Amino acid sequence: MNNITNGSSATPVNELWDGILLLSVFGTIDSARSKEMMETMLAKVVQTSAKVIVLDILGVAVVDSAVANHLLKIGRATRLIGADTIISGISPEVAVTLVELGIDLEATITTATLSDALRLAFDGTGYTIEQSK
Amino acid sequence: MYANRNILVLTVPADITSTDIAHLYDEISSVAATGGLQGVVVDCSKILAADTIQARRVFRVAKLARIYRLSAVFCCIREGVATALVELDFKPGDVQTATTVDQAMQQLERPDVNLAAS
Repeated sequence: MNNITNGSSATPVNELWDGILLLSVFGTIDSARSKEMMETMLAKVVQTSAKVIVLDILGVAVVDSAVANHLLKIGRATRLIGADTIISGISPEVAVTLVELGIDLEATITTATLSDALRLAFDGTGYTIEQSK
Repeated sequence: MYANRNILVLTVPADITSTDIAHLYDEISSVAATGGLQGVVVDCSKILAADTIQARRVFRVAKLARIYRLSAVFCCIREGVATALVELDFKPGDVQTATTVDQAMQQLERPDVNLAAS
Protein backbone atom coordinates (compact mmCIF):
# COMPACT_ATOMS: atom_id res chain seq x y z
CA MET A 1 0.00 0.00 0.00
CA ASN A 2 2.89 2.26 0.86
CA ASN A 3 4.21 1.73 -2.64
CA ILE A 4 0.90 2.76 -4.11
CA THR A 5 0.68 6.00 -2.21
CA ASN A 6 4.21 7.07 -3.01
CA GLY A 7 3.56 6.38 -6.67
CA SER A 8 6.31 3.87 -7.32
CA SER A 9 4.12 0.80 -7.62
CA ALA A 10 3.01 -1.09 -10.66
CA THR A 11 -0.24 0.15 -12.13
CA PRO A 12 -2.64 -2.78 -12.28
CA VAL A 13 -4.94 -2.49 -15.26
CA ASN A 14 -7.54 -5.24 -15.05
CA GLU A 15 -9.46 -6.61 -17.97
CA LEU A 16 -12.92 -6.40 -16.51
CA TRP A 17 -14.77 -7.78 -19.48
CA ASP A 18 -14.14 -8.31 -23.15
CA GLY A 19 -13.15 -4.86 -24.40
CA ILE A 20 -13.37 -3.15 -21.00
CA LEU A 21 -10.38 -2.30 -18.80
CA LEU A 22 -10.43 -1.00 -15.25
CA LEU A 23 -7.77 1.01 -13.49
CA SER A 24 -8.49 2.04 -9.91
CA VAL A 25 -6.16 4.76 -8.74
CA PHE A 26 -5.31 5.36 -5.10
CA GLY A 27 -3.10 7.89 -3.37
CA THR A 28 -1.48 10.70 -5.26
CA ILE A 29 -0.91 11.25 -8.97
CA ASP A 30 2.28 13.00 -9.91
CA SER A 31 3.99 13.31 -13.29
CA ALA A 32 5.96 10.08 -12.92
CA ARG A 33 2.94 8.07 -11.85
CA SER A 34 0.79 9.63 -14.56
CA LYS A 35 3.39 8.65 -17.17
CA GLU A 36 3.48 5.11 -15.80
CA MET A 37 -0.32 4.90 -15.82
CA MET A 38 -0.48 6.17 -19.40
CA GLU A 39 2.16 3.72 -20.64
CA THR A 40 0.55 0.77 -18.86
CA MET A 41 -2.92 1.67 -20.10
CA LEU A 42 -1.81 2.17 -23.69
CA ALA A 43 0.07 -1.14 -23.69
CA LYS A 44 -2.94 -2.95 -22.26
CA VAL A 45 -5.31 -1.36 -24.79
CA VAL A 46 -3.09 -2.49 -27.65
CA GLN A 47 -2.69 -5.96 -26.11
CA THR A 48 -6.42 -6.52 -25.53
CA SER A 49 -7.92 -4.31 -28.27
CA ALA A 50 -10.04 -2.77 -25.53
CA LYS A 51 -12.63 -0.19 -26.48
CA VAL A 52 -13.28 1.34 -23.07
CA ILE A 53 -11.10 2.10 -20.07
CA VAL A 54 -12.65 2.95 -16.75
CA LEU A 55 -10.33 5.10 -14.67
CA ASP A 56 -11.66 5.17 -11.13
CA ILE A 57 -10.23 8.06 -9.14
CA LEU A 58 -12.30 7.72 -5.97
CA GLY A 59 -9.17 6.86 -4.02
CA VAL A 60 -7.13 9.79 -5.28
CA ALA A 61 -6.31 12.04 -2.36
CA VAL A 62 -6.17 15.40 -4.15
CA VAL A 63 -7.44 16.39 -7.57
CA ASP A 64 -5.98 19.77 -8.51
CA SER A 65 -5.23 21.31 -11.89
CA ALA A 66 -2.02 19.28 -12.28
CA VAL A 67 -3.82 16.00 -11.60
CA ALA A 68 -6.69 17.00 -13.92
CA ASN A 69 -4.15 17.77 -16.61
CA HIS A 70 -2.58 14.33 -16.15
CA LEU A 71 -6.00 12.69 -16.44
CA LEU A 72 -6.79 14.70 -19.58
CA LYS A 73 -3.52 13.59 -21.16
CA ILE A 74 -4.28 9.95 -20.39
CA GLY A 75 -7.74 10.37 -21.91
CA ARG A 76 -6.36 11.98 -25.07
CA ALA A 77 -3.65 9.35 -25.53
CA THR A 78 -6.04 6.41 -25.14
CA ARG A 79 -8.48 8.17 -27.47
CA LEU A 80 -5.74 8.45 -30.09
CA ILE A 81 -5.08 4.73 -30.06
CA GLY A 82 -8.77 3.89 -30.26
CA ALA A 83 -10.26 3.55 -26.79
CA ASP A 84 -12.57 5.78 -24.78
CA THR A 85 -11.76 6.66 -21.20
CA ILE A 86 -14.44 7.03 -18.55
CA ILE A 87 -13.31 8.75 -15.38
CA SER A 88 -15.39 7.57 -12.45
CA GLY A 89 -15.45 8.24 -8.74
CA ILE A 90 -15.73 12.00 -9.01
CA SER A 91 -16.87 13.17 -5.62
CA PRO A 92 -18.89 16.40 -5.15
CA GLU A 93 -15.78 18.08 -3.71
CA VAL A 94 -13.68 17.11 -6.71
CA ALA A 95 -16.39 18.27 -9.13
CA VAL A 96 -16.61 21.65 -7.40
CA THR A 97 -12.82 21.97 -7.35
CA LEU A 98 -12.59 21.25 -11.09
CA VAL A 99 -15.24 23.86 -11.86
CA GLU A 100 -13.67 26.45 -9.56
CA LEU A 101 -10.27 25.87 -11.14
CA GLY A 102 -11.85 26.41 -14.55
CA ILE A 103 -10.73 23.01 -15.79
CA ASP A 104 -12.49 21.85 -18.91
CA LEU A 105 -12.49 18.08 -19.12
CA GLU A 106 -13.26 18.44 -22.84
CA ALA A 107 -14.79 15.31 -24.29
CA THR A 108 -13.75 13.13 -21.37
CA ILE A 109 -16.65 11.05 -20.13
CA THR A 110 -17.10 11.37 -16.39
CA THR A 111 -19.38 9.62 -13.91
CA ALA A 112 -19.99 9.91 -10.20
CA THR A 113 -19.74 6.23 -9.42
CA LEU A 114 -17.97 3.16 -10.70
CA SER A 115 -21.30 1.44 -11.33
CA ASP A 116 -22.43 4.30 -13.60
CA ALA A 117 -19.15 4.00 -15.47
CA LEU A 118 -19.55 0.25 -15.86
CA ARG A 119 -23.10 0.68 -17.16
CA LEU A 120 -21.79 3.15 -19.75
CA ALA A 121 -18.88 0.88 -20.63
CA PHE A 122 -21.16 -2.12 -21.18
CA ASP A 123 -23.53 0.03 -23.28
CA GLY A 124 -20.62 1.30 -25.33
CA THR A 125 -19.31 -2.18 -26.04
CA GLY A 126 -22.70 -3.60 -26.95
CA TYR A 127 -23.55 -5.44 -23.74
CA THR A 128 -26.76 -5.10 -21.77
CA ILE A 129 -27.00 -5.66 -18.03
CA GLU A 130 -30.21 -7.38 -17.01
CA GLN A 131 -31.36 -8.58 -13.63
CA SER A 132 -32.28 -12.25 -13.63
CA LYS A 133 -35.53 -13.19 -11.92
CA MET B 1 -5.40 1.68 -50.86
CA TYR B 2 -8.17 -0.86 -51.14
CA ALA B 3 -11.94 -0.70 -50.87
CA ASN B 4 -13.80 -3.45 -49.08
CA ARG B 5 -17.50 -3.58 -48.27
CA ASN B 6 -17.77 0.00 -49.57
CA ILE B 7 -15.16 1.09 -47.07
CA LEU B 8 -12.01 2.74 -48.32
CA VAL B 9 -8.90 1.70 -46.40
CA LEU B 10 -5.87 3.94 -46.69
CA THR B 11 -2.45 3.46 -45.17
CA VAL B 12 -0.47 6.51 -44.19
CA PRO B 13 3.23 6.13 -45.08
CA ALA B 14 5.88 6.17 -42.38
CA ASP B 15 7.41 9.55 -43.19
CA ILE B 16 4.48 11.78 -43.99
CA THR B 17 5.26 14.61 -46.35
CA SER B 18 2.97 17.29 -47.73
CA THR B 19 2.97 15.40 -51.03
CA ASP B 20 1.81 12.21 -49.30
CA ILE B 21 -1.01 14.07 -47.62
CA ALA B 22 -2.05 15.70 -50.89
CA HIS B 23 -2.00 12.25 -52.48
CA LEU B 24 -4.14 10.89 -49.64
CA TYR B 25 -6.70 13.69 -50.05
CA ASP B 26 -6.78 13.13 -53.83
CA GLU B 27 -7.38 9.40 -53.42
CA ILE B 28 -10.24 9.92 -50.98
CA SER B 29 -11.95 12.63 -52.96
CA SER B 30 -11.64 10.77 -56.28
CA VAL B 31 -13.11 7.56 -54.82
CA ALA B 32 -15.76 9.35 -52.73
CA ALA B 33 -16.90 11.47 -55.64
CA THR B 34 -17.96 8.34 -57.52
CA GLY B 35 -20.48 7.55 -54.74
CA GLY B 36 -21.42 4.33 -52.97
CA LEU B 37 -18.75 4.67 -50.29
CA GLN B 38 -19.71 4.02 -46.67
CA GLY B 39 -16.67 5.37 -44.93
CA VAL B 40 -12.91 5.74 -44.79
CA VAL B 41 -10.46 3.86 -42.60
CA VAL B 42 -7.07 5.48 -42.17
CA ASP B 43 -4.44 2.98 -41.07
CA CYS B 44 -1.69 4.81 -39.17
CA SER B 45 0.35 1.72 -38.20
CA LYS B 46 3.36 2.69 -40.31
CA ILE B 47 3.80 6.04 -38.57
CA LEU B 48 6.59 5.70 -36.03
CA ALA B 49 6.90 9.38 -35.15
CA ALA B 50 4.75 12.39 -35.84
CA ASP B 51 4.57 16.02 -34.83
CA THR B 52 1.38 17.98 -34.29
CA ILE B 53 1.47 19.52 -37.78
CA GLN B 54 1.62 16.09 -39.40
CA ALA B 55 -1.09 14.80 -37.06
CA ARG B 56 -3.39 17.72 -37.89
CA ARG B 57 -2.86 17.09 -41.61
CA VAL B 58 -3.71 13.40 -41.24
CA PHE B 59 -6.76 14.07 -39.07
CA ARG B 60 -7.98 16.62 -41.63
CA VAL B 61 -8.97 13.56 -43.66
CA ALA B 62 -12.04 13.41 -41.39
CA LYS B 63 -13.07 16.88 -42.53
CA LEU B 64 -12.57 15.95 -46.15
CA ALA B 65 -14.64 12.78 -45.67
CA ARG B 66 -17.40 14.82 -44.02
CA ILE B 67 -17.79 16.85 -47.22
CA TYR B 68 -18.94 13.64 -48.88
CA ARG B 69 -21.09 12.74 -45.84
CA LEU B 70 -18.66 9.97 -44.93
CA SER B 71 -17.19 9.00 -41.58
CA ALA B 72 -13.48 8.47 -41.16
CA VAL B 73 -11.94 6.21 -38.53
CA PHE B 74 -8.23 6.42 -37.72
CA CYS B 75 -6.74 3.18 -36.50
CA CYS B 76 -3.54 1.45 -35.39
CA ILE B 77 -1.92 4.58 -33.97
CA ARG B 78 1.16 3.40 -32.11
CA GLU B 79 1.45 3.96 -28.36
CA GLY B 80 4.65 5.98 -28.73
CA VAL B 81 3.07 8.25 -31.31
CA ALA B 82 0.00 8.81 -29.11
CA THR B 83 2.14 9.58 -26.07
CA ALA B 84 4.37 11.98 -28.01
CA LEU B 85 1.40 13.84 -29.49
CA VAL B 86 -0.25 14.21 -26.10
CA GLU B 87 2.99 15.53 -24.62
CA LEU B 88 3.03 18.07 -27.47
CA ASP B 89 -0.46 19.12 -26.30
CA PHE B 90 -2.15 17.74 -29.40
CA LYS B 91 -5.92 17.43 -28.98
CA PRO B 92 -7.54 14.82 -31.21
CA GLY B 93 -10.95 16.46 -30.97
CA ASP B 94 -13.97 14.46 -32.06
CA VAL B 95 -12.25 12.15 -34.54
CA GLN B 96 -13.15 8.47 -34.42
CA THR B 97 -10.34 6.08 -33.57
CA ALA B 98 -9.93 2.31 -33.30
CA THR B 99 -7.20 -0.06 -32.22
CA THR B 100 -7.35 -2.29 -35.30
CA VAL B 101 -8.53 -2.08 -38.91
CA ASP B 102 -11.26 -4.62 -38.13
CA GLN B 103 -12.55 -2.53 -35.24
CA ALA B 104 -12.48 0.55 -37.45
CA MET B 105 -14.57 -1.24 -40.06
CA GLN B 106 -17.01 -2.40 -37.40
CA GLN B 107 -17.36 1.19 -36.19
CA LEU B 108 -18.26 2.32 -39.68
CA GLU B 109 -20.75 -0.50 -40.09
CA ARG B 110 -22.35 0.16 -36.71
CA PRO B 111 -22.17 3.94 -36.28
CA ASP B 112 -24.83 3.83 -33.54
CA VAL B 113 -22.30 2.71 -30.91
CA ASN B 114 -21.25 6.01 -29.37
CA LEU B 115 -20.15 5.93 -25.77
CA ALA B 116 -20.40 9.66 -25.20
CA ALA B 117 -24.04 9.61 -26.29
CA SER B 118 -25.00 6.60 -24.13
